[in-house]
Amino acid sequence: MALRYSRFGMVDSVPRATRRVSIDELADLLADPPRASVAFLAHDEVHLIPVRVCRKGDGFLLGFRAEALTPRTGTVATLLVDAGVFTPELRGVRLRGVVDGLADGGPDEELTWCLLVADQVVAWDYSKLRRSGR
Amino acid sequence: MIAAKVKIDRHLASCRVVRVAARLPSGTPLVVPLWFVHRRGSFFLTQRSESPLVRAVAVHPDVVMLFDPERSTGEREVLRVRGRAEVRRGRWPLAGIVVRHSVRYHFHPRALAGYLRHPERIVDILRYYTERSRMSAVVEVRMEQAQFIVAPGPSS
Repeated sequence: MALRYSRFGMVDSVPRATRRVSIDELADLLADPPRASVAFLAHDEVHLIPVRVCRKGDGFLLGFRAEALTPRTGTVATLLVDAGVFTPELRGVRLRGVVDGLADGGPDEELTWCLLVADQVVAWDYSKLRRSGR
Repeated sequence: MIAAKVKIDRHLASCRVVRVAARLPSGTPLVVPLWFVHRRGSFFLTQRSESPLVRAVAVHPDVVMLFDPERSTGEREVLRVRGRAEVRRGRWPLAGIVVRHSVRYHFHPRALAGYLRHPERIVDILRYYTERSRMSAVVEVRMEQAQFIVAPGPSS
């Protein structure tokens, strides 16, 4: 809720538009993400790698191609899963967490799998834009 | 060299959303999907002036971007660009960018069709963009390095 001064010097509460949703509202997107990428730091540079994603318990398995740089265990990484191009169809999830090492049992043996345990989640869906508080 | 430039330009023409990674002042990595306008080796990204990306590039200007063609599925080529970002403020010097941006995204037939599919949201969509236009900045990223990489496809 934003605050602003009215013409009479009073503070008004102004409901702002919001696109935020809960991650549960994007369960279908996370079940079959069309594209995903993960950002992390290595060698004092930020890296951004396209990955395949699937859920595993409370975490997310990230599948890297063999030639791709993978984050080390304990590295903070941010995963982005998003879809859509124009306003009402834009939706996505950004998850920040710690990489918990190489993981066995990914669905594709040709990829190298890491487990990301997320501790911060931001989810949005522009088809559900509304005034905050509604 | 010319062939590479033609390939890059053709690839960029098939992309409308770019994923941008930067380093926040706290040192943690950030990645956001954004609309972009491309002009003469630079990419222009409109942002709220207090957005995490604006705060990030003010301290760490090196960014990485992935250009992933929207219609591609499965294993596919993605363009990865490394560049240096700079925040540009002020309405009039950037008016041309904002106009191109609006035509490319808000007045595209698919965008207009999307608004018509959600008529109950139009007021809130207008409110959302009006609120943000009052506090907007443009992040300009100058391309320094471009490389095609292969992205794994979604689950089969």
